[in-house]
Order: sequence, then C-alpha cells, then structure tokens
Amino acid sequence: MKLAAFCDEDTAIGLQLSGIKTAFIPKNNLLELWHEITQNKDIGILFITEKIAEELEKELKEFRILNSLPIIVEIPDKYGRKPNHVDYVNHLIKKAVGIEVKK
Amino acid sequence: MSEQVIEGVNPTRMELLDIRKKLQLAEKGHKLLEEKRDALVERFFTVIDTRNQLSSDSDYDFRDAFTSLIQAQMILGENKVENISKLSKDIGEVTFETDNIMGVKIPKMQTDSLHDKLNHTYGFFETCSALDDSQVKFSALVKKLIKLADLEGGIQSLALEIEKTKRRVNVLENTLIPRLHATRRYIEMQLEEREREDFFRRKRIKAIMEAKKA
Repeated sequence: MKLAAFCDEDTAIGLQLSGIKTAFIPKNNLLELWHEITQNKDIGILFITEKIAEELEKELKEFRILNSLPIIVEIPDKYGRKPNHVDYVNHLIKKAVGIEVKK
Repeated sequence: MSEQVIEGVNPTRMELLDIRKKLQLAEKGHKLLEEKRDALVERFFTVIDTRNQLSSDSDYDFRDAFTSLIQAQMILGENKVENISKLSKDIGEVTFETDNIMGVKIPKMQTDSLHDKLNHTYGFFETCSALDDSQVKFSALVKKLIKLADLEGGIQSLALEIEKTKRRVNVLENTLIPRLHATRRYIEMQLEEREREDFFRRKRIKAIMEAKKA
C-alpha cells in the first residue's frame, strides 16, 4: 500500500524529496480531496498536517472509528506543532487510561 | 435488591441449579476478563512510552528538516526545489499483516519493500548543500514517521480493545453478577418458604387426624 500526504505545499515538497510521491494539497477544496482520499483504498499511511486535521476534525473522527486503515499520522507543518491541539492518539490514551485511573 | 432479580424465573430447584452454574461461569469470565484488561493496559503503557518518545523526536527532526528546506528554497528558489523534489525516487509501498496480541488484531507493517537508501537523483551542479541536507533529514524523518505510524496503528486497536474489555468487566461486575446473586437468593428464600409451609401443613394434618381419632 502506498504512503500519502495531505498537507500544505512546503511540507509536500519536503516529503517528496524523501520519496513520498502521493501528495494531496488542498486549495479551497478540502472536503473534495478528503473524499478522494477515503475512496482510495490503496493508501496505507496518511500523513496529515495538524492544520488540516483540525479543519477536518469531525470527518477524521468518524473515519477513524470505522476504518483501521489507512493509519493517519498527524504531523506538524513548518510552523511547528499547534499549542492547544489534542491529537487523536493522545485523546485515545486519555480515554483508555482515564477510566483506569478512576478504578 | 429485589428489583434486580431476573424476571421470569420460576423458583424451582432446577432453576436454582442453573443459576448457580451461570454464576460460576460469570465469575470465572469476570476474572479472566480482568486479567486480560490488566495485561492489555500494561502493554499499552509500554507502547505509549515509545510512541511519545518517537513523537517528540520526530517533532524536533521536523523543525530541523524544515530549516534546511527553507534554506534550500532561499538559495535555489522555490520552483527549482519543487522540480528537484519530483525527481526523487519513489519510496515504495508497505504491506500490512495482522499481529495478534491477546486476541487483539493489530496491523503490523512490513517495510522491507521500502527503498530507504538515498541515491542522488539530481545533479550537483546548480544545487546546493542545503538541499542535500534537507533530503537526508527528510528521509531520516520519514523512516521515523513510518515507525510512528506503525505504533499509532497499534495504539488505536489496543485502546479500542481496552475500552471494550473494560465495558465487559464493568457489566459483569456491576450488573450481571449482582443480578445472579439476587436471583439465587430469591429462589433459595422461596424454596425455604415453601418447605416451611409444607412442614406446617403436615403438622396441621397430623393434628387434625389425631383429633379425629380421639
């Protein structure tokens, strides 16, 4: 399965340098591209920048519950990580461990 | 307590035996599930540790790699860097297998088919060392990111399984087992009551018969 990136232009160039050729760069058509990605069953890992992840929060959440592939990894863009962004994996950990703490 | 009795049970001896068997099974299951949950959580914590380490590592690398990339863009111009980036060799594909940890299916990545050796695909004339740097850094970064993806995939399935197991343990602990206990008590009490009634009835009949004889 392929590796793909859903990110801004600069990140795409960086990832392209290292050989990740499938890049989706949104220009006002975020949702369309997202649907295109979800239709594509050949993507194994999707790298998504936090900025886009934040905009697509709801769709991402739904998609992740229903599908285990592609694995979606949130990456920072050239401005670094967002300060108040809770990524999905941390959210999962909190959910799983939080119940544990209560026990 | 009385409202927790399972509805529609006849207070008979057969039913009591049945409920006792069920209770035994439920308690056994509860113990097993509890063990499973603890094992999963333990495993989860080790995975989380490595994941967090890798994640903060890759964050740092990202900053580094972007600095190089931006330098290259400043020296060569954005268009040129973009064109060169298209020349690089495709990284290849990953395949997924499922790994099994205590009944949890976890996607396991096979990265053998990835080309992670760097071979330069662009000329040294007209490019600069910052571009080389950024390519090297991004390639190292992508390797880490792929490992990270592998871990995160595992975390996702583990977390879901932990939640599921927890829910099961809680249902057994808080609903099913108390209910079975209550039902057992109810049947036992009913049976005892019936026995007492029976006993009294027999005494009564005996008394009446003796009164008739006399």
